[in-house]
Amino acid sequence: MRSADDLSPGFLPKDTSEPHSLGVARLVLLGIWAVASFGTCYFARELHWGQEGRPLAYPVAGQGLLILFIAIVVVNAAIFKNDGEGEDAVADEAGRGG
Amino acid sequence: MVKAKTPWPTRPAEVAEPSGPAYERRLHWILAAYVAGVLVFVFVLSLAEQAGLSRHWIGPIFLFVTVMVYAAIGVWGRTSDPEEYYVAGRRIPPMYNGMASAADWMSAASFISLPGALYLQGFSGSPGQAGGLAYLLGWTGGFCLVAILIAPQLRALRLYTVPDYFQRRFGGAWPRRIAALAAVACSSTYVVAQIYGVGLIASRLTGVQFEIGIMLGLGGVLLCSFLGGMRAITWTQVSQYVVLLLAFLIPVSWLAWQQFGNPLAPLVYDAQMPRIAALEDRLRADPAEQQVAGLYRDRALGWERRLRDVDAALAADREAAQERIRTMRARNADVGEIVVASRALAQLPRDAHEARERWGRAQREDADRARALGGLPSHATPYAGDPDGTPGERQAYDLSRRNFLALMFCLVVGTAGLPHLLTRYYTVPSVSAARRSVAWSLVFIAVLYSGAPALAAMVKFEVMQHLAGSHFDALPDWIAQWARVDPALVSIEDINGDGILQFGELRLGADVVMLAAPELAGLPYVVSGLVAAGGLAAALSTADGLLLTISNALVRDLALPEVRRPLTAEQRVIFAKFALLAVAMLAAVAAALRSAEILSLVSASFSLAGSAFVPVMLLGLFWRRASRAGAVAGMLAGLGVAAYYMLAHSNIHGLRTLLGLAPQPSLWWGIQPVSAGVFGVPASLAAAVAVSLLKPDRGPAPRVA
Repeated sequence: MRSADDLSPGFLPKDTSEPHSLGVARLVLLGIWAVASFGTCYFARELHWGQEGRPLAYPVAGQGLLILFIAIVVVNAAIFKNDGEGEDAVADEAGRGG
Repeated sequence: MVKAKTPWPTRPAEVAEPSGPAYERRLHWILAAYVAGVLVFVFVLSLAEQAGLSRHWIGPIFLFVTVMVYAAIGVWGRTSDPEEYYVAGRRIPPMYNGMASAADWMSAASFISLPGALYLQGFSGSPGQAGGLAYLLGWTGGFCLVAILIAPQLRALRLYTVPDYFQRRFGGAWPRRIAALAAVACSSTYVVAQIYGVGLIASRLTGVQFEIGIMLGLGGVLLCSFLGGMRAITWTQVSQYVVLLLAFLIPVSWLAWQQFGNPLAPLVYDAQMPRIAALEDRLRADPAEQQVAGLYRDRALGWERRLRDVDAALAADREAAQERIRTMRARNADVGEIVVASRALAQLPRDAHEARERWGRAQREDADRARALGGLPSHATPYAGDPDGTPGERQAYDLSRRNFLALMFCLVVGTAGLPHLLTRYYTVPSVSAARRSVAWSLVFIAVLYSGAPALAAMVKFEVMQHLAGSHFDALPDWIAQWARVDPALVSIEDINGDGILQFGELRLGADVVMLAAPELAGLPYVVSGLVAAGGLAAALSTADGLLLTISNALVRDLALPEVRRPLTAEQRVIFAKFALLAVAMLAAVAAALRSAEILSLVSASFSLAGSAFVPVMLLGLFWRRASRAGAVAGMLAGLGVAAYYMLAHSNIHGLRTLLGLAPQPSLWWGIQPVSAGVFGVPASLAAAVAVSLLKPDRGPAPRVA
């Protein structure tokens, strides 16, 4: 059916003809991501820690946010573990049949 | 048995390399053996160095051996099967695809220059040039968007290129054509910079000419991508990731071990931050430093005076140089002296235009160094200015923070839109594997990126604590060596003539921080060779991915759909291969020009990719009513606005006059041209939504049962 050279116009697989709904879980993940990354940087000057008020922005942005980003993509992969697999299996069949 | 019957190049993928746990176990063994092999190789070379192997040999050995390994993988992975050539048969396990994406993603700039940029710019850079951690956060934060919104959705469609998506979703030819042109535009400046990096590192490793360095490196790239397409590129990138990971971790961990007694640099470097702040305060108050800054200020004023009347100043310079030679001849001076003087005369700017450019640069550099700490901002303080200070300081603070966030936004969106990265996630076996693979990519990237701020801080401490204040004749060797290679890497000068190095008298280029880290840590020269080989691997792996993207966009998405004659799948792949060869040659020629303008355009590709692809792609994926006309309008608006903003505010004078644009119109809300995506993305989104509503696609969207 479909192959590397199928470029017939108007071909629209099932996946896009019914656009994805974002869903609460995705929106929450995106929200956490946006607030954490841009919020932290917006208030970077105010980030202090401890009695002497040691500035915290550099390690928070340099390491902390990286760890949070990884956590977000790992949670995303775990939550949607089976999302899209059914359609993909069908598509795989179709792809190999061609 | 099956293998013997099927001719190798056209064998069906499933027969030759089964997927599944056994296949992955075998890959793990191969990887472990490869890592051990690299370590043994470095160890043997370091023994050889101790036994007296000359430094002149170590560089070429590294270059030759690594490029040969990459090329061998390319030959092993050769294929003309479309499924293999475009998407590596879609059976790369997520972890390995993550490694390949990490190598694909980390360019020469982020491997070699990122620690240096953090050294020079601290948290946020200067008001005129945002940077520092914005790069690090943008280049990693973007993967969250890729993982949540883009990669799995695109993988589910079983596409072959990014412009493919626009064809599938919107139909018609124009969405695909525009997407293909945008893919070529944002990848081509990027690939030129990679090949430039290849030439630079190869020529440094071996001591050959820059152009020959390009050819040496390019040979490796081409063997790999020309023969095997995505399949070969994937496995080369995995092997390149191993080299660049070791090249980064060995010197950084060693430096951390020396400073803290713990090799885990990202976890322990924080202890150094208060010490750096204290050293910065001490250096700012130091009278000798202030004297140095004053001398640079005088020098900058001198350049300014000359720039006021370039012709007269240039004529005076020439006259003075000729006069010196005349007097030397008159007193029968030493031939060597006369040669030196004649060379100085020959090196004067040839015309007023060149003089203006050169002196302008010198003026900016000296004015920079006239500021406290040689123009470097406080390392850990976010943003310039002061939110509680004078109106001027408040404005500087606002502007610097706004530009930091804008740059971060553009890099994030650009990450989610750059085609060479997105196509990597087409190669995994399933949709959920795409999600897992993005997570792996981010882990593999973070291993290096989290070390970059640590390395910057450790080098800064080392320089401020130990180098500054030492005698000029007791400086470590690496300073003189790198200064000889290129004065832009290390420039050092006893401007106040006291025989002691002030911090303001030493200027490190962005690249040297990573390149000299092994020597700073007192490691043998072999590790320096490994670092250079790591930089080469970073540049080659990114160049591979970009070349494939460009040639596929040109052939598969632009040329072939217009060809009426039926072609077999193999013929199409052969077309793509030759386009790749041609693109590589063109990129090599462009890199050999060594034009600073091209290099300055590189960071622009993120804004371009973000504005052109991301809004329309997201609308297509998540909004049913996005129409073909809307897609075309959105992509054109995004590209147009971003390109206009960058060109209108670029420093390239000739380009502006060519386009008939006014000289330097004022910036919109003070945003630097590199962050043009801040305007391009909303423009694209607005245009796509408005036109989709005004001109919906006729009839219901075509369905596939």
